[in-house]
Amino acid sequence: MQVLRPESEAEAAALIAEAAANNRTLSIEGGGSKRHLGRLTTPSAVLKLDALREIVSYEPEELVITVRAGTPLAEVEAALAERNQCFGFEPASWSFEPAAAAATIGGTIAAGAAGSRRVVLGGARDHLIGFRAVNGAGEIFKAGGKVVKNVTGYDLPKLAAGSFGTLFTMTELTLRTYPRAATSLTLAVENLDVDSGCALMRRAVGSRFEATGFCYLPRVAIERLGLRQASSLTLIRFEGDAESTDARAHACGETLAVPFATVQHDDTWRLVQQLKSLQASQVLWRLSVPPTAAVGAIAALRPECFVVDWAGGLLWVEPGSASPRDVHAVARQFGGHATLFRGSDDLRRGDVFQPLDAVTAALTKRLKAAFDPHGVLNPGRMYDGV
Amino acid sequence: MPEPKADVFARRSALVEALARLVPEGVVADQDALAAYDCDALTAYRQKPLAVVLPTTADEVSAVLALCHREKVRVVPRGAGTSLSGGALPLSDGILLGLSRMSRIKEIDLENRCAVVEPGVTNLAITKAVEGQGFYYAPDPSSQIACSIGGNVAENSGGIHCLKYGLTTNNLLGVELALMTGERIRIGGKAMEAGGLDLLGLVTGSEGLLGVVTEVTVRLLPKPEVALASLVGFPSIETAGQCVSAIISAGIIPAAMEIMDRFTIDAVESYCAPGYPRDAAAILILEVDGIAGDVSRLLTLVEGIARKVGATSFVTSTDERERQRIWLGRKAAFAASGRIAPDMLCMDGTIPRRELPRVLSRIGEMSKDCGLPVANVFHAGDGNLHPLIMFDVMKEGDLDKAEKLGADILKLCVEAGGVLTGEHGVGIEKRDLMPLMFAEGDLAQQERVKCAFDPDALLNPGKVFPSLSACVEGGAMHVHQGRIPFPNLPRL
Ligand SMILES: Cc1cc2nc3c(=O)[nH]c(=O)nc-3n(C[C@H](O)[C@H](O)[C@H](O)COP(=O)(O)OP(=O)(O)OC[C@H]3O[C@@H](n4cnc5c(N)ncnc54)[C@H](O)[C@@H]3O)c2cc1C
Repeated sequence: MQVLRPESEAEAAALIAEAAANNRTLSIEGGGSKRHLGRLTTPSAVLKLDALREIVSYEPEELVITVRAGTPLAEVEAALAERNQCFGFEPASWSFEPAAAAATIGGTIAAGAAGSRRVVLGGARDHLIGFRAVNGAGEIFKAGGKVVKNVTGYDLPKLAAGSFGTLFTMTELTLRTYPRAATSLTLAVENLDVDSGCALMRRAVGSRFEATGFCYLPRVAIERLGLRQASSLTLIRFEGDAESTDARAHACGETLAVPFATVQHDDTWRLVQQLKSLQASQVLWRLSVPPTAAVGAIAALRPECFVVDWAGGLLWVEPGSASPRDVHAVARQFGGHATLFRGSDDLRRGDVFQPLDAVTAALTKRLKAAFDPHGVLNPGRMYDGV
Repeated sequence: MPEPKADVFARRSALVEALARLVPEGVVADQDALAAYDCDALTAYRQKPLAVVLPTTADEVSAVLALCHREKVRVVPRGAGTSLSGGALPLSDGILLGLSRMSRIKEIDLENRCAVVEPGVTNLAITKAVEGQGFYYAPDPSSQIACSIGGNVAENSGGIHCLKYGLTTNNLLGVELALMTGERIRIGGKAMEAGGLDLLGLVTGSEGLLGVVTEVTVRLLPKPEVALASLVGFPSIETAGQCVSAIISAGIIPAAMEIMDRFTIDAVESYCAPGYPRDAAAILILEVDGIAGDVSRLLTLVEGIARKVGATSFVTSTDERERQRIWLGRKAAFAASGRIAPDMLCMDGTIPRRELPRVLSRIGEMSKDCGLPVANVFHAGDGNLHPLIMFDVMKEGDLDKAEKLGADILKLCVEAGGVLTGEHGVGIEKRDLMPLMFAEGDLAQQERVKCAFDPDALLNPGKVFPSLSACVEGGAMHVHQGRIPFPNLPRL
């Protein structure tokens, strides 16, 4: 397929305007690491943004960084680390083997790829504070600002995060940064059934110890990771300086009144982010549900393997025989939504994202038209006609 | 404001009757009674609405909107009317839709750390309902006893604790939204993420232009074990600002950091005597929360930083009573300043913190030049300034001078790399200043979003955007009707 690689924002705008004028459609791509996400589409060409690669400005004291959309995430994170900072939402790399191309910052935000820390510090949406973009008519516009507190005009950055490139093509992003913790200490509890594991995480997240990660791995997941012998692992993570994490982890463990061990710099969090225990999954679903619904949703789906994150709010599920319709029905029944994360081309032609009710679907289409009237940008990637 | 529709005035009594059928006991049409609704907290602008409707259920809200949609009648939503930007200013030919009677807390679900409430519930009532069990709702605007959660969603309100805990938008899980047609949609719920496009994020802070919030699901947080406040005195406002930057550079994000200048200190001392240092040119109030050990270690670090940049005093609360006392003066700053002059304009720009010294001294010069005193009290951690301009409406020319000064201050904020509003919203107050921050194309894109929700421009028109745009079918295009360039129209 033809790959267009603009070297500047103006060039990107010209290419999109040209596509709009010629009734062509574009697949918007950063590094291409999330190509497997979303519905299968048949664009006329790929608009690849990896040449827009630059850290435009970085002011650690202001907790703000501005980068071009195609800058590799790793490069941005390295720059932050140099000044003892990071992204609060813990960008998730969600990589599938063989190692895919490097994720860019634009793609990471457009996919709303937040990790375990999302449960306390918010998602990609909460950390994007401004951007520049090209809409589907090829017009350049900006939204938001470059300061952390701003309510001037509609909060389009929220809309950008998780829109999978279907509304506009971001060319420059301004993000909020966060102090990087000196260390992390994980409180590990073994052998709880999923019900008790989730209940424990809910108690921990509602406690005063400011943990920044809550995940549960059943035996299958542990075995696939080649970790220790246990029928399950419930992990609660504390970040900060050594004295603080130590005090909080132990006080939390004692409050929860369960036998626990503590692990310094537990690598399991990285493995969870990278979906390492789910690499073999031919079909993988991601469900966002109210924490108390986690156990019910898992039981209803009878998965081969699953991982619970966000204290029960996020489920990664490799379903046995459940069809997309079943998974979406379960997600709805339990008050959440489900997204197909990995699946055959055939599955990806159907509903990948949770189907919308009629009024919301119509509104979503009107919003699409407000940004991309000719349907040039990633048409159909989220929903048919969007 | 948009040209009133003459035909709507002609149909007024029929409309009032139709509304009364939909919301029995909930329609105010008497001219004297309407006066109570003629403004929000931006009192310089007043306008009586055609009628006020006070529904008690979401179905009634839908019915009123559907009627107005059919009849092409404009609607202005209103919560508690504490907006400082004129967002709830009525239209002469429009219905004022008051949500204050929808004030039930529907559900408290501590296992999922959330509460489901009607839009008229006050901000503070949510915390009051859950604090017994050790939880609270984090965003805490100073108006929290009065302002409604629906208004908070519409304005994306902040508070002194949003440095660490975020604005309203970072603390919501879901809303039910009535569109102008009366149709209602649920966006999100008790799950951490809603499916589809992030409509929740878009609607939050949309100032009542996109839909009427009929239910809100807020995220609750466990109350920290300990919260201590420190009162730090500085020889100048610049050093106070440097201290804030130094704390953040050290990787510390306190729960709150507020700066107050000499003028404000004097005002609050004579108002409620919180015991602020009389010799300091500026004070920084900071709060640190967490578990006890962390709090005391952080405070030691912070004190070291403060002394190093030149703090002249550093006092930390030892109990809850002292903490409240330290905050007392900050919370009373608005009321205390209000005693000094008959009228006040509260500005709300945000700037990058490094620009603080330059911007503050420039504001001082501008204040001298025009002869109106300005008090500075602000959310220092995130650079959100609240210059309070003192004036007297009864004095010939004072209001114009105050508005001009306000506009100049906001212009300065934007030039310094900041924004027009950090938490109070654009409303009508900053509407005509929008072109300072956004190019025509940027605004046109935002207005097309409005068209996608409300193509007939019936919902709170005339707010936020300097021009009224006509939507073309499908929301795809729009036509400008004489955009007014800023310099000719110092509306603020
Ligand atoms: C003394 C004082 C102190 C303040 N301190 C702060 C502060 O610290 N931080 C801060 O951020 N703000 C502050 N404010 C501003 C104000 O309180 C907030 O903007 C508040 O959120 C407004 O809520 P309200 O219920 O009064 O809304 P209103 O003033 O009634 O309305 C505000 C806007 O929201 C819309 N609206 C209201 N309800 C709904 C609904 N249900 N659905 C859709 N749209 C709706 C209205 O149309 C209007 O545009 C302060 C105000 C005062 C007077």
